[in-house]
Amino acid sequence: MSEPLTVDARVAARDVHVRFDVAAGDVVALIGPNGAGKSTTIHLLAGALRPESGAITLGPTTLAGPHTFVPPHRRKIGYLEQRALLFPHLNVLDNVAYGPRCWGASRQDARRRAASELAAVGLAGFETRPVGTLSGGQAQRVALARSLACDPDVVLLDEPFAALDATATPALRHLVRGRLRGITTLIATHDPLDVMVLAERVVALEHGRVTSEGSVEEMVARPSSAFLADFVGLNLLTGRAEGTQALALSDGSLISGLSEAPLPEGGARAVFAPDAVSLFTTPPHGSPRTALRAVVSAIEDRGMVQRVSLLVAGQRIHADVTPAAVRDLGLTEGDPVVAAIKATQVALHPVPAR
Amino acid sequence: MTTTLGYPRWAVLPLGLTAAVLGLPLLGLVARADWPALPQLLASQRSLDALRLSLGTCALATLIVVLLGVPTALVLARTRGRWATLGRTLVTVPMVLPPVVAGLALLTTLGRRGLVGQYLAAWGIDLGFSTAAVVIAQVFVALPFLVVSLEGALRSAGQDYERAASYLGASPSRTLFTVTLPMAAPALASGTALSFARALGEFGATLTFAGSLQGVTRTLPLEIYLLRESDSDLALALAVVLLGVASLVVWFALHVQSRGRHE
Repeated sequence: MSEPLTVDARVAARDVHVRFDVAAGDVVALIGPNGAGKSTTIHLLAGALRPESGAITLGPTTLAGPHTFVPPHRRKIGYLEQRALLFPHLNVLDNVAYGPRCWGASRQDARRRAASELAAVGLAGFETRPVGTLSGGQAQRVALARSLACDPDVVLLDEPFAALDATATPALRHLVRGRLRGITTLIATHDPLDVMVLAERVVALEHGRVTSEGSVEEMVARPSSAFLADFVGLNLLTGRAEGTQALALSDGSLISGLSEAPLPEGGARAVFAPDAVSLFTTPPHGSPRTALRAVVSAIEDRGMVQRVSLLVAGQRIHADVTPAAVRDLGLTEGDPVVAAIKATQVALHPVPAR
Repeated sequence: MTTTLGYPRWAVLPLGLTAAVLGLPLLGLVARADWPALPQLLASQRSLDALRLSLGTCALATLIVVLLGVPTALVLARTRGRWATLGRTLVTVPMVLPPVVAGLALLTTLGRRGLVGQYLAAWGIDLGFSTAAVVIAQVFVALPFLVVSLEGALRSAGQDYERAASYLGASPSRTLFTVTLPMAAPALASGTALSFARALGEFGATLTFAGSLQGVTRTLPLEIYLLRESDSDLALALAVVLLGVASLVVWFALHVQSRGRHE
C-alpha cells in the first residue's frame, strides 16, 4: 500500500534541483527558508509541475522522467494544503466521497468509505452539513478525510496548519499523526513543532538544493546550518516512555510533561523551549520540577539573554537565562549544573512509528 | 463588514433622468397597448406563427450557444498569450457589430453564392431565407454574451478547486462537469439567459440573412416591424409580449448572479 519515493528533479526556471529518498511509510519533513524550493518540490511530486530533467519514482512506477509524465489525476496522491478547498456545492459526505468516485467506486461504496473516513477524523454526524458551516479546523479535518479516502500511496502536506488558529492546531496535528501511520508522507512546514510531532526524518532545502538530511534527533542535536539552528529553536530530548506522563533518559533521569494522549510504550520525545529551563548548582527541593544533571558546554551572549548549551545524558539542549543568573551561578564551560523544567512546559510525544 | 459608501445628493438628478430616458418609452408602450383585446390579438394566426417561430428558434439557438460557448469560454479562460487575445477579440466583435452587418456577413458567406454557401448549394443545402438561417443569425449575435460572461467568471474563480479535484483523481473532463460548471452555475445561468434574450430580440441580421417569410423566418421583432403601420394594435400587443419575456429573462439573470455572489 505504501511505497518508497525517490526524487531527483530539476526545474531550471526556479533554480531548483532536489535529490532525496523517502523510505516506504516514512514521514519526512521538508523545511527551509521562504523560497528555498519546498512548494516547488511538493508541486513536482503532485504533478502540478513537470521536472525539466531527472526522475521521480514511487515504488515501481515512474511518475515523471525523460519520457514519462503521469498527470496529477492518475497519481495516487493525497494532497493537503493551507486551505481546505472543500467543494462548496457538495455537502461534507459527498466531498469525501469525491475521490473514491473518481477512482471507480460505486456511489454507495464511495459514500460508505466516506462515512468511515469522517468517523476516523471525529466528524461522524457531519455528513449532510454544507461545507460553508464548518469551522477552519473542521474543514481541514474533512480535507484530510477526503485525501485519505483515495488510499493514497503518498501524502503531501503543504503547511497544513498554517491557516488555522492556534487553538485548533494541536488536536489536528495529533489527528494527522494517527491517520498517517504507515503512509509515505512528505510535509513542508515552517513550524518546528510539526517536525517534532509528525516527522521521523528531515530534509532541509536552501536555495533549491538539499543541504542536509537526517533524523529529527540528528537535526536537533547537531543543526548543520544557521537556518537549521534557528529553525529548531526548541529543545528535544528523546528517551523511552515511562508510564503515560513521563519519559526516561538513558542515564535513568525522568522528565515529566504533558501529552495530548497517554503515551504508548516505546520511544518518546520531550519538547520544551529554552526559556523554560532554569539552572541551579544543587537540585531545588520541594518543587514539582524535573531536575536533570547537565554539563555546560558553551555560553553564548544573545543580548537580553545568555544561551547556555548543556549536555544531558549525551543529548544537547539549550537554556536561555538572564546574564545575572549566569553571573550569580558563576557558570563556565565544563561546570556541572542542574537543569530544572516545569512539567507544564514540557510536551511529550511518541516517536512517530511506522 | 464596512457600510456601503453613500453618494453625493446631486447624483439623484441624473438618476431621475436615466429613469425617464429608459423607463418612459417602456411605460408609453405599455400604456398604449390595447389590454382588453390582447388575448384575442395574440390568438391570431400571424401572431401565433411569429410567437411559435421566435420561441422555437431562440430555444434551439440558446442550446447551440451553450454547447459551443461553454467549452470556448473554458479554453479562453485558461489560455494566455496572443492567440487567447485574438480569440477573445473574435468572440467580442459580434457584440458591437451592427446586426445588419452581421446579416450581410452571414449572407455573403453562407448564402447560395457565398464563400461556403456555394459548396453547400452543390450538396443541395440552401441556408439562405430558411428557418435554419434564423437560428444561425441568432447564434451569431447571442454566442458572445455567454462566452464573455462565463469566461470572466471562470477566470476570476481561479483553478484551486480544479487542482484539488485533480489530486483526488478527477480527469479534466470529470473536473469540468463535477467542479467547474457546478461552481460557475450562476454565471452560466445568467449568461444563458442573456443570450436567450439577445436571440429573442434579433432583427437586423435575421432580416438580412433570413428574410421575412411568415411562419418560416418572420420572428416576433420582424412581425412587429411589418405590422407597425398596418395593424398597430397587434404590433403593440406583440411588443408587450416581447418586453415581458425580456424583462423576465433579465430579472432571472440578475437574480442568479447576485445569489452566486452572496454564496
